[in-house]
Amino acid sequence: MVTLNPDKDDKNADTPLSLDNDGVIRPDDEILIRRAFVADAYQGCDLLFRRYYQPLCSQAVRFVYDKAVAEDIVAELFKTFWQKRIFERIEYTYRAYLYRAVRHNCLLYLQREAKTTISVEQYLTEELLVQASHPSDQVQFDELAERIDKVILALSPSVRRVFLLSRFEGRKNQEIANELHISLKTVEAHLTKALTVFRKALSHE
Amino acid sequence: MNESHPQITKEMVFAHFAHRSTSMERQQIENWLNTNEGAEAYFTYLDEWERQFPQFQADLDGARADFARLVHGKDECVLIKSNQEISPVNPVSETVRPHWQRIKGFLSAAAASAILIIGIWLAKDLWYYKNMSTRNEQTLSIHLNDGSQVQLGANSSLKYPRFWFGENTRYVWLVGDAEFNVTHLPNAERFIVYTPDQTAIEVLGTKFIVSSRQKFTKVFLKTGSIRLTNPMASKPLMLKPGDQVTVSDEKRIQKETIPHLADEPKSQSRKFMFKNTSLKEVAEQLNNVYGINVRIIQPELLTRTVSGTFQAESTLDLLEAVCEMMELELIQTADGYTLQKPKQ
Repeated sequence: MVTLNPDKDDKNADTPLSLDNDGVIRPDDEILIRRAFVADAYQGCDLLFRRYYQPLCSQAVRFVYDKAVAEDIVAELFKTFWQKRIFERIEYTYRAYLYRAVRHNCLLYLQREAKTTISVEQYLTEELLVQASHPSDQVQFDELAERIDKVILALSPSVRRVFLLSRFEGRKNQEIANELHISLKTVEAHLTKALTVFRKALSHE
Repeated sequence: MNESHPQITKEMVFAHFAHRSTSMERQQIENWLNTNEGAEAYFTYLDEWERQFPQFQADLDGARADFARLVHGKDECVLIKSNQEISPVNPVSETVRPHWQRIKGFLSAAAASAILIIGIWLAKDLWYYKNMSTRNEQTLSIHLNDGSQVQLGANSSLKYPRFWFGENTRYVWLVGDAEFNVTHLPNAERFIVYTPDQTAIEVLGTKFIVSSRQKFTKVFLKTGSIRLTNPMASKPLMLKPGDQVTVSDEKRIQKETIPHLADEPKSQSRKFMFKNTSLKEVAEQLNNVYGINVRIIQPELLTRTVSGTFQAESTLDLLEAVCEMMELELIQTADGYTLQKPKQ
């Protein structure tokens, strides 16, 4: 565990924020954000927030299939990022950290939901997530997203429609029944079916 | 390095994200991810992919306001707790602060006003600035209060202060293409155009064209003079008429003089000028300007270059002209076009 330095003023001295000072010129579009962090951590976080919040939510929803949950996961990610001052320890780009972490947190969410372990590299600690080259296999995440997408596409159109309205859009069962002119019972039956398949996809290897 | 990962292109990674990669390609991407460049480029592409194909528009303003509230409302709490472990999934528990309770009333009032002020500040995009944007194949002529004119190109947006434009507020933000005709004010006030890559174009009264796209910002000066600043440039760059400056993705700044004004890159007309431009860039440009997906299947085609000026009525015309010139086959697909070598 890295001990966090509680003294705010010391942070400029020894943090790896100024990669641009090491004499190596790299294509780096985050240099300004990095500079903003040196001046004012909140400004830096806010810049990251504005730049990455929406695409990160879009990435998260590919795994959790739930807009509200996706937004929560990303907001929670930024909260931790700020509270644990993770931005002081980013070794390469913020972007790589954020995407990696959002995928990881989606996985944790799905595991809790399915009460199962999913076959992607298990439990990365934050220390691993901030490092530039850790062994987490991003391709496995891509394959997980593909698996989820496939099972949902394989549902019958009416079941899929109910599932998306309920889970992705977060609509109430009664609303869905009214809108699609079907009974509440049918909505519930469709949802049970879809969720069973969805969870099976998560636990399936 | 290049030797071992010869064929990882953006198109290939995008196809992989769209679940269209073969297992051989996956293996190559996995190997590539083990290199530093690969690991970074992968997330750059992922980010670009999510921006191009968003699954939904999350509520940014609301979430940002929540985040600001978290930061400003619980600052003290963070300092107290910063060397303790906070679980990333559980909500942060309130710490006990007895003296806090006594002055709680005052502080919460202060916090409430702080939140209100922050809220107004955060929402100033909505009330203080006016935002004009254009869609694909649409252009717009904007008259600013100081007498300046802006021709906004397709798929672009311009943000500027709603009130008192011209009184110490001659600044605008541009994403996309625009041609500016800035009036010189008697008090010689500067007019500044900001682009997303932190380039600032300062003028007094001139005509110039700006094209600010994801990969680059291009500035072409017709008359007058421009002072251009970018964090990567050690000193401001001065432009003379006919100069074109390109600030690219890699933050390289390049200045060239285009001799004949007739060849100026016009952003509003449907005139495409290519000078040793690779097909890959052509496809990206079409995607940026017109939002059209152009897929190029054979990797060897990506690096073939095009030169010349095309006056095209539509993007289809342009693509047909390019294909004819390069002896390629153009296929219309559900979400755009595909270019490929004709089968022999």
